[in-house]
Amino acid sequence: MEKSMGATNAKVINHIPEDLAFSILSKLPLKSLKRFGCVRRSWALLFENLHFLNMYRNYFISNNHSYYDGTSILLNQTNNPLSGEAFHSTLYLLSGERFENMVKLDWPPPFHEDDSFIEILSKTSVNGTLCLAQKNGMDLKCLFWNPTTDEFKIIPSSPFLYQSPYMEPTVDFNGFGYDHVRDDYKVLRWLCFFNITGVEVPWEDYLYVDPMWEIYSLRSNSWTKLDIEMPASASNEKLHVDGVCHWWSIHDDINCYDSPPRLVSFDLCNEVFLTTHLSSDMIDPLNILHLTLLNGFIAFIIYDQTTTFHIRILGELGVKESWTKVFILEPLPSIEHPIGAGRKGEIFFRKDDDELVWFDLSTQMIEELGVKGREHCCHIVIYKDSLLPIGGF
Amino acid sequence: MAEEKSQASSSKMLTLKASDGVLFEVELNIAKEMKTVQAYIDDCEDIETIPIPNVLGKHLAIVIEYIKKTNEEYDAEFEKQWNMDDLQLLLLAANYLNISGLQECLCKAIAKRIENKSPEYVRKVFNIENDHSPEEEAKLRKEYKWAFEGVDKD
Repeated sequence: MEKSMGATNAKVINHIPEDLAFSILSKLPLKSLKRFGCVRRSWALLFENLHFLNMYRNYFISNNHSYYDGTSILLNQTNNPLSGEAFHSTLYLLSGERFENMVKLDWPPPFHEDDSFIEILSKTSVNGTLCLAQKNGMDLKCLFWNPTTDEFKIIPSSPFLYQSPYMEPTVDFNGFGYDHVRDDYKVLRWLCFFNITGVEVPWEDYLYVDPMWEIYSLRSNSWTKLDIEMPASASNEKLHVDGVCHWWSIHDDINCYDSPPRLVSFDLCNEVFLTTHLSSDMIDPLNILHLTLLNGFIAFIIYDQTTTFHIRILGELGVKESWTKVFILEPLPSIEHPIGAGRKGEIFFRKDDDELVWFDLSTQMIEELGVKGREHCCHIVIYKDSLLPIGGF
Repeated sequence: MAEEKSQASSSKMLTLKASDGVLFEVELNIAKEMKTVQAYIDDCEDIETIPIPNVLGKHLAIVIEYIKKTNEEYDAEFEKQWNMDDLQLLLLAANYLNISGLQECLCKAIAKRIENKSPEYVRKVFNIENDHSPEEEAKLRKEYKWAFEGVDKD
């Protein structure tokens, strides 16, 4: 009896048909898939196989990454003012299956007088806390804010901003995030200094201030200079995932010369960074890059004037060859540029008539949100609320 | 009257006959979860015993149990009890019987088990013959060197 059962088993195992095998493969990480290309020829060409690609895409979209548990979507919108009108940033909480509910949230008191160009750092929240920043000429505001409890905490000024009375800083907020080792919130900034125009510096007072990185720690409530040579950001797309701040740069490590575009990933815990170059077929002078988080994965949305959007998912941090072509959004008429990604395969865009819309990767449908926004000034933030006090301690 | 009828049909029992002759009496609503069986019932209304020629008794028993008990918690623990051979046979059974929930669960389970393995291991598991030329394979291994780091020893 056992013998014949054994024979049956062997016969059956021989035949997991290819499309069932694809079903299994479609649930694997990119690293495994690239390795298993060695198993057999058809598996080396998985991403060129439309049948497999569809399975992979469907699983990718439907597989809810734990990053998004209990989260909602915030839209940080800037209006496109008519002449004479002022700029305003408006924060909306989007809810409902199709984002049909848009609730306007009031900014905290420090922004009541001037609510123009408020940035939500790294498009993320830590324990329900957002980090907001605003640069208005010489005036620099940076604070932590919990929209659920309305608590806010102003981040003190950095001692490094005005090292010389003759030099003015340009501040680039690179990231906000969580150091889980020290249970600390951190804010990363890049400072460049320029001579204040029109002022002549007495020779004996001349002090050249090098550009520098600085980091704020909530626990110490102070800014520290970071002794590191790291490429600064080339765009507004900055992200934070699991204690690592990501942005992309076209500068070399000392920010002197141009470099081919690369992803920069800064670990807030050990304060070191890693760069990931883009593969050569992603780089084209006519291409526009948009860094985003798609279903928990670092991705670039690449587009040009043809309104076709290519999405490349990063398979492994640090590995240039692991940017994998996963989605192509065929010409989307009138769509100008992406503004962020949602929680379940939604990508938000701005149209050429300023309308903000969202594209559903699974249904391929586009829907308007019902609000307009200014070019490159609108962003999506993934927000997880919490009633904890800021810092949790 | 209508109520009684529907009650009667929901407690109607069906017999499924596995490939090795083992018989299983199941409620109609359980059997309906197997889309293949549902199609069989739709075609021949008064059938009482349905042959399941591709599935061994031991696996059909597991499948039926899954349908009765499936929920998030059960699914999470379900796959842990079976070895790789059984998982594959269960997947073939779920595929033949067209039970999408069980198929998904098993595909994920098998994927998890092979995720960190070598290509050689995977070939053995699925009984696949390598149709790459040695040069082709060497080229792939070189190109995807990063994908071979940290792989479990066979």
